[in-house]
Amino acid sequence: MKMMKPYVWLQTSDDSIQQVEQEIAMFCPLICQEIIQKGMGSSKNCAICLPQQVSPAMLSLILDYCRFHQVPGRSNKERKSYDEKFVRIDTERLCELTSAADSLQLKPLVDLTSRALARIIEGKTPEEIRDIFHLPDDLTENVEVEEEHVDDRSVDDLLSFINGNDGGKLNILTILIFVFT
Amino acid sequence: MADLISSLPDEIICYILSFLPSPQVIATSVLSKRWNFLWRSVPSLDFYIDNKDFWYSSLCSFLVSHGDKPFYRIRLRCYCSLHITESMEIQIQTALSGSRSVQILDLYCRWSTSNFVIPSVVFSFKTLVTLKLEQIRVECVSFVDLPLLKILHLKNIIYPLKIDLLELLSACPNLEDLKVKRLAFEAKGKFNPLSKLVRVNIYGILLPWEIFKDVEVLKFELVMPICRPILSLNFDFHNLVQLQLYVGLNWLPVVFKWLNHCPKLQSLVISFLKTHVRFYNLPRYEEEDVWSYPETIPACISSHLKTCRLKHYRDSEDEFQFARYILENAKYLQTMKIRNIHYIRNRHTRKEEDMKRKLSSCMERSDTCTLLFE
Repeated sequence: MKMMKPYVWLQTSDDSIQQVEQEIAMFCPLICQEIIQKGMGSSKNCAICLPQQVSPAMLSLILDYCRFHQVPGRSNKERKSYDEKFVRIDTERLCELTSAADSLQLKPLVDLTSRALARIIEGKTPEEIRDIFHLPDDLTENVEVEEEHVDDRSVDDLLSFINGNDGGKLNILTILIFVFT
Repeated sequence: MADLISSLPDEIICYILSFLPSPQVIATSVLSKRWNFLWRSVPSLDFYIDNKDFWYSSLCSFLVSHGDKPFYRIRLRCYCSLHITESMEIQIQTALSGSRSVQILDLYCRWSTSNFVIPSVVFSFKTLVTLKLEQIRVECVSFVDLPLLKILHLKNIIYPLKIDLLELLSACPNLEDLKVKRLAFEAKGKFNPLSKLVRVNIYGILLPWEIFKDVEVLKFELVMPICRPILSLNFDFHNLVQLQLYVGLNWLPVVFKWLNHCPKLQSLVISFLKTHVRFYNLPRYEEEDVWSYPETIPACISSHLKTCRLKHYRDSEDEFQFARYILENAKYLQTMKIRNIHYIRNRHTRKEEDMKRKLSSCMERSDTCTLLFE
């Protein structure tokens, strides 16, 4: 007789309940704990209540991710290229996904989406970042941003020190390096 | 529209910021009230310093504000001469010693005006995945344990780092990428084979060949055959697809010995010594010591070689014969790249023309290969 694939019942933030292959859902540490430690999810009546951050759309994305990575025998190259395509979504969904993955303790996905978000921010000015994330500017003009300078030596001090000390030692170093090679 | 990132916990925002250069992380403090202090908890120190006056104070204040919280990434690359004050030295050393779960450590500094020394404890950080040290002093290392290390780049390490390099490598069982350059290491101890090693780049250091047995990419920047006259191998580099050799006089026998031990080689780069080094303290070439090409063509040339590159080519007879040998015998060759030594390019236009014509005439039988002059 063919064994039936075990399923698990999950309830998302909109209170809807769905049936998911247990093997794939177990990829998320939070779901895994619920099943093993609390014996939850075995029927519709005791569905696992997922955190507020996990909407049905996010759950479906996360399960896609788990389904792909759960298959054994994929090469690193395949996994990498899947991941790359996976995070090519708009910033809003990327933020939601990060939040949902974090609430399910799915660390590899948090890592992936965080890197993607970092790439979006990289090189942008604070003004551009505010636009990207719709961040309200709640710092009133009266509040001064903290002074960041700690070093109290003047630039002239620094310059004279560096100019006075440098060249000789570097040359000796270069000679040593040449000898070693 | 709602603030997209507000649903994320501080910890995740800091994690996202940890992938960015620190100056940009500091700049996020002006975003909003919530972000005002977030940057101080970002577990990453990442400075690329090319202008001392500008970045120095930024680095100082970053270290002070961060306090003694541990870092996961420390990247400090300094491309200008920088004077490190004693208090700064202590702060960096404390940050290093205190970051026991650091994963990436990448330091490059010309701190010639300072006695800054890397604490040896970093060589026993069990979480380290990447360790790159260049132009830096390292405290005397007595114990190494780097179980997760994948990338190890050590260049121009200044004394007093004293450890047997083989001992060090044996303590990195998961190493994939090794680059060592200009080190005065000993390498006499026992070693364990590094079965996960994929890429190796060695400059001026001799190590037993057995260590590299399984690698795919091998780059030797040590002059052969002067530094290693005898190549006696009782095994093949069965995974090797890319090989780069740096050769001096009497180079042909050495190159062929290599080719015979690399059955799957696809890419070969040979870099000839430049003239000014060639005449420096090298054994004289003996005319009677004539070497002839082997009767059987090495397997990699006849069935795998796809690219061949000759660097600092000066069109000597043995260089030309070798180029011709490759062009005529490598059936699957796709590109042959020739990079002239500068004087041919700059002053001898006719000589260059001759050279190009000579090489092109060897190509007549092949229609799948491209000859490129760089």
